[in-house]
Amino acid sequence: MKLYDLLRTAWYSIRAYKFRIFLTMIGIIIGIASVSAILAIGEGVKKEATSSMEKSNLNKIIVEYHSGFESDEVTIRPFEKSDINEIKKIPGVQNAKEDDEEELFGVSNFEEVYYFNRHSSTELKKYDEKDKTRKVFLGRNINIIEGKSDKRVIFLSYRVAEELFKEPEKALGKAVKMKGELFEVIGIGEELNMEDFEISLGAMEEMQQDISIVPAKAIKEKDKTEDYIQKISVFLEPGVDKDEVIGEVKEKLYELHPDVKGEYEEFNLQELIDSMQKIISSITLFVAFAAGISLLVGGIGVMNIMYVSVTERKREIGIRRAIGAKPRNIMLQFLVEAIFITVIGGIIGIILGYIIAVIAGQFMPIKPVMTVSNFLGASSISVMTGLIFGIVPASKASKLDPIKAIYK
Amino acid sequence: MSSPLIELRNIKKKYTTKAGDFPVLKGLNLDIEEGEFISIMGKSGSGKTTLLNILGLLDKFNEGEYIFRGEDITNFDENKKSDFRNRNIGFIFQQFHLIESLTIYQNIEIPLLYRSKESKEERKRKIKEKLSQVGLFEKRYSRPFELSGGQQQRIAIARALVTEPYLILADEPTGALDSETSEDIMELIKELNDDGKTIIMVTHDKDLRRYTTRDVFLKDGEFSEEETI
Repeated sequence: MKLYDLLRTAWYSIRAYKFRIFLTMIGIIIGIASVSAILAIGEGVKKEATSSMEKSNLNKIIVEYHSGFESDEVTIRPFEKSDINEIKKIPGVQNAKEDDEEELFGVSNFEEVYYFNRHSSTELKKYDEKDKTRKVFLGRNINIIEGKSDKRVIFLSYRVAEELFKEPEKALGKAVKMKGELFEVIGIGEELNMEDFEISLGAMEEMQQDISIVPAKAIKEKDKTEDYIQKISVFLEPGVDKDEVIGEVKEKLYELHPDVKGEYEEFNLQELIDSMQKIISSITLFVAFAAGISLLVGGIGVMNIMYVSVTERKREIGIRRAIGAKPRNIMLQFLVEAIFITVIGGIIGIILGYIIAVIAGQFMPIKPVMTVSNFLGASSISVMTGLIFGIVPASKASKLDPIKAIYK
Repeated sequence: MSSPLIELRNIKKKYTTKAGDFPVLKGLNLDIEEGEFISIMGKSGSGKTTLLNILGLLDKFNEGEYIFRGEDITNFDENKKSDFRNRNIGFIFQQFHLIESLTIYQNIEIPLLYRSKESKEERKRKIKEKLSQVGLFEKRYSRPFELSGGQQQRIAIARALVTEPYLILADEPTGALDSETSEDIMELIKELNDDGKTIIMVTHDKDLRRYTTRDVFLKDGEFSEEETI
């Protein structure tokens, strides 16, 4: 029998039992819909996380300087303009420049802060009027006029204030040192409540509380005037051994700055992206697998209806055998019918799942993504379901004795 | 003289039950020439339907040989049997046995689909030809339940003919029909025989003997000289 005729034959039977086939299909639809919705959301999370990181070139590696706990390091200049030219000469380095990217994953730079002999490091963000104002423990937020100016004021996070002054309330009105400049503390943020981290949605906002803020121009201008380089981005030629080249870059830096006591460290974006994607993928897969259990229930529904169908259509099977169907033809007919049910259910399920994911996306900070591989994956799961749960009834049908089937 | 269409040699069949073996056919020998119209007659339980099913390779037998056009088909496996039925035999059943979920056209198409020999156009031509022969071409888009018993049996005959088989096997073809319709159907089957088709029919209706060229009588699994009806 030709494939087209086989499909046609299966289709006629399905059409003849529309309603009960539809009922059976619901199980498959729910199963596939939940799996594909979860895959789409997972893919969306992955893409969101990746794209916020991938704004920068993947061949770009940032080299930073970590001073350790030496408070006098503020006088040390870990990078010089001339370093950049030296680094460019290293084989495998395509380009190198001062890293002026303000934010990475929406989080600001780390900065060392000093108060006499005490020291702390804080994530530093420039004032942006679009940002939410912080909850204040003492003092006030930076206002808009200061915010746009180069006034040396700072809104400290509670943790930093505590580390510098032991009692955070003492920080207000004091001057702290950052990049060799003094900043007046005009406000202290509310204490970070660690318990709140458990509420995941609140966590991002809470973490913002551990960021200190300075007026927009307070630091940039300083950078320009003093030529102070905080980080260098090194762009590697494609295909080179990253570790090796970066090793050479670091060696060169130590050579150029023999007096530094801290360490040069690289920040490899690619590794972070890779491991993050891996984590998201495995979480997604696990949840999708859990959702797949509903597919198992749907599959058993298909198996059940196919058994009913074989019993009910014994005579048809007998007639078909009498007029020339081989056991194989009968087997294929019932198998294809089962696969039809799961594939049609699967396609509806994929569409439904995507719709669910898009609706869910309205309430989440991510945009669900239906990838080709997830689409193909969900489709082949539907085919497999039909195959697995259809094969036993189909083989039962093919083994019927024609004479008994006709005169049942 | 060429060999007969069918040679049955010492065909034996028994049913095995817990109570012991129960013989149905006790060593039957039968030759059938091409072009014959044979009726197998006998009472219920005489084994006539079993014999017909053996002739159609639908049922198995325990002993003996079945030779069809000189070829020994006794030991065919299921696949070969299916092929054989498709190529050589057309079945007509008492209860018509059309497939309810398919249209008339699709019902007649089935045997052609199982051998994928003809193209779609050829199939169309053959189906049209057979449907016209039984006078029901205009019903091709109907469903079996929309037709009368007589019409359904005509469709079943068209289905039996569409593969151009050597042999038509009819199991009580008029058993479910009123006498007037029965006559129409028998006339149609007679016409097929007149055109040269070999027909073997099981019946217990003596009146049908006027259509046949030869009658054999079964009694308790054996051929009998007397007319056992």
